[in-house]
This record gives sequence, structure tokens and C-alpha cells, in this order.
Amino acid sequence: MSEQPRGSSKLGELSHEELHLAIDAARASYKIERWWKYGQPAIDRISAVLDITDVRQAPSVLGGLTNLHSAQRQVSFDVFPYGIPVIDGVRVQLRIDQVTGK
Amino acid sequence: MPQISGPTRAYRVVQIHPLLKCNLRCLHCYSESSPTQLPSLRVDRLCDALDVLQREGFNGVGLSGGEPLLYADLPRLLAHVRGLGMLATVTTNAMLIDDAKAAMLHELTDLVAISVDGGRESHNRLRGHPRAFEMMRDGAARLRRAGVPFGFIFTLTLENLHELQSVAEFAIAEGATLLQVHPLEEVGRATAALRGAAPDALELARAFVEVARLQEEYSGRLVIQYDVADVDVLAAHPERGYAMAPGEACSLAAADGTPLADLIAPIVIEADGAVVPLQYNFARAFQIADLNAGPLDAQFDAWKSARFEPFLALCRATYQRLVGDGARQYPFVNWYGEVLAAAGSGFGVRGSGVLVLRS
Repeated sequence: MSEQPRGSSKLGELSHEELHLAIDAARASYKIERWWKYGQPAIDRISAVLDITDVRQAPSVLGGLTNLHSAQRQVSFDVFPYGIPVIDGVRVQLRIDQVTGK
Repeated sequence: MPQISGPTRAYRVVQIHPLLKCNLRCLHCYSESSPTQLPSLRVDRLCDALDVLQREGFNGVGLSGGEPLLYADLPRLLAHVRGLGMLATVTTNAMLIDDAKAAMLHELTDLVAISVDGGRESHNRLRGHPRAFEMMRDGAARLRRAGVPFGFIFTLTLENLHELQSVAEFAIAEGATLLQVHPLEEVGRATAALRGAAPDALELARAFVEVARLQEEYSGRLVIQYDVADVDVLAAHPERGYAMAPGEACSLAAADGTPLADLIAPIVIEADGAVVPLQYNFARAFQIADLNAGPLDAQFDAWKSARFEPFLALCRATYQRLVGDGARQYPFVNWYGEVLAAAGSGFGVRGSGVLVLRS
């Protein structure tokens, strides 16, 4: 296998200098910010449902979610208290959209 | 709560290899999967583990194998993942997908990743099966008809970059949303079967240029994902490679109740029950837990206190070698492969951030 020609050789030859120029040009449009494993797509949206069963923890959990928000990561969530007549839990429907680096 | 963002940021995945049995015996397999491999994990044990891991902050599960469609309890396992509110992906050769399996995948997965290794001839040669390509294409068509989101994974070797454009066109024609370009790693069967075929630095650099070109050409129709690390990005963000300065992260591990996923992701559950960081077949010196060895909570705590710091030191040493190498010609590396190789090459760690070589 290793005696076969390089795949890149069939795309045309590039000198060392030409390749560096090509890399610089390519980086202008394509950035690798994160790296992933075989079979793992660069997920750019996470949806989750969190059940907070100790209502005393709810403020800190929601505060933590709020702190996740940034220019690169859009965090939104809806909060549904449950329990009648006394609230004994909180359900949070969470969505995180993030820039994937592409 | 502070956390290490690692290489995949908010997507903190558990990759599960529930079995090593496969309908194929691929040359580039990173394990030794084949029709004669028997080890598999009990589904109840996996479900119990996922209950704990979800509480530890993991939010995604990637299932592979072996061939995951040969795992008899796959629907039950996926339903459990879905019940926990975690994302589920399945990596398959797609040859065994019939309409019933496509319907099941539609109900229970978020994305199916199909392995493709070039055109028909290349694919069938690497797969060791004369009809692998046609059967894969049939499976993809069934997924498309069932409405299952799917993508293709192209294993980049030293010799097949010129086939990437045809694979991208194939992916678009088949209705895929994603083309993942992943460098071959010479581990598992590939160690012997494809020795010398992993792309070197020059080929990784040429592939970057080609991926960028194709992404521009097919913008809006296909997302092309290139699974290498940009060394300049790694240098600016060492935490993405778990390569923070010694001591910077260890206080996190020492803090009571720090979820495992805040410290390490992805993690891998292998068919023998071993839970390891980052990569299949990661050196057992860094093993996180064993599903067959008692309560996971206690094992996680033990890993945080005893093995997390050595793991960080391993990553730091790898980072310093990659980033600090002034002679590096091109700025792209297979980071997972580099750390895996370093872990298995005899590096051990003793003390606080001090690397020593095992004799």
C-alpha cells in the first residue's frame, strides 16, 4: 500500500512555498477550531431536558446556564415549575446553538 | 461551574463499542473487529453505566463496534439513550440496513454515520467485500427514504486524497448532510494491514487545502468536517488538547462533585467493559473505569484523584512536542492519534507533572 503514489500527487504538484500559500488562503475561509473522533459529527445544537428535583438548586443551575451564553454559544431555555400546591421540581427545556468553526 | 472545554466543547460524548463482531474484516479497522469476534457488553450493564454518565454531565452517545447493527439489543440501548435526553449517533457500514432497521434508526437516533472509503473499487478493497459499496449505497437509500439524517465518513490515507471530490459528490447525490474526513490511524488491524498508509504531515496539509476548496464549492449543500487539529489553534488554546500548564486543572479534579465530563470528554466504553479516555484502545494505565468492576461512582472518584493528573501530563507532553517543534513543516496533526500513540509508547507519569519513561 505504501508503495502507491500519494493521493495528493494526483491533484497536481505544489512546492513547499506554494503549499504554504495555499494553506494561508484556505484558512481564510475554513477554520478548524475543534477536532472530532471517527463517527462523531461536529454537533452544533444541543437540546436537552433537565429535571431539577431539588428546587433550592434551581437558581444556581439557571444561573450557570445563563453564564454559558456567549457570542459563539447561544443558550436558550424554558422553565416549567411543577408540583401542586407546593413546587417540588423544575423542568428546564434547554437549547444550545454554537458556532462549529466552519 | 468551571470545566475544561476539551476538544469537543459542549458536546461531551460517550463512544460505545458494545461488540466487536462485524460482518466485515476491514483492512483499516482500528480494532480487530470481524465475523468471528464474540466479546459483547450486556445491555443492562450499559444502561446502568449511562445513567451514571448522564449524571456526570455527558450529553451524547456514539455507537460503533464492530458493526452496531449486529448488536441484538441496539434498539433497547438507543431507547435508553433517548430516554436520558442524550444525543445518539450510530456509525455503521450500512450494509445491513433494511427498512425495519431504517425505521428504528429514524425513531431512535439523531444521526447515522456511514463509512465510505472512496470510489467503488477502493471501498470494496479496503472492506474486503466485492459488493460492499453497492450494499452500502442501498442502505443509505433506505435511510434517506426513512428520513434519517445521515452523513458519510471518509478515511483519509496517504493514497486516496484524490478521491475526496468524488466522495463529496456521491454524498450530495445520496442526500447526506455531512462528510467527515478522518485520517487513518495505524492501530488495530490497520497496524499490520496498512502499515505506512496513514497520511503524513504533508498529506494532512494537502487535505486541508482540498477540504477547504470543496467546502467552498459545495457550500450550503454539504458540511465537510476535517478531523485534525490545527497546531496554531492548539497553541492558542491548549485546553482543547487537555494541555494546560501543570496544576491548572488539577484543582478541578480535587473539588468535590466535579462531574467527570467537566474533566474529560470524549470517553470510550470498549467491548470488554473498559472505560478509557479519548480513543479506542487507549493505554490501560489511564483507564477510567471497568463496567465489570463495581460501582462507577467510586471508580470515577479514584480516577479523578489518581489518574487525571498523569493524563493531563501526558497531553501536556504531547502538546509540547507538537507545538514546540520549530521544525514542523505543516500545521496539522491528528491530535487523538498523537495522544494515543504517546500513551502507548511507554510514557508514564510519576509525581506532579513530571514525565518519566517506564523501563
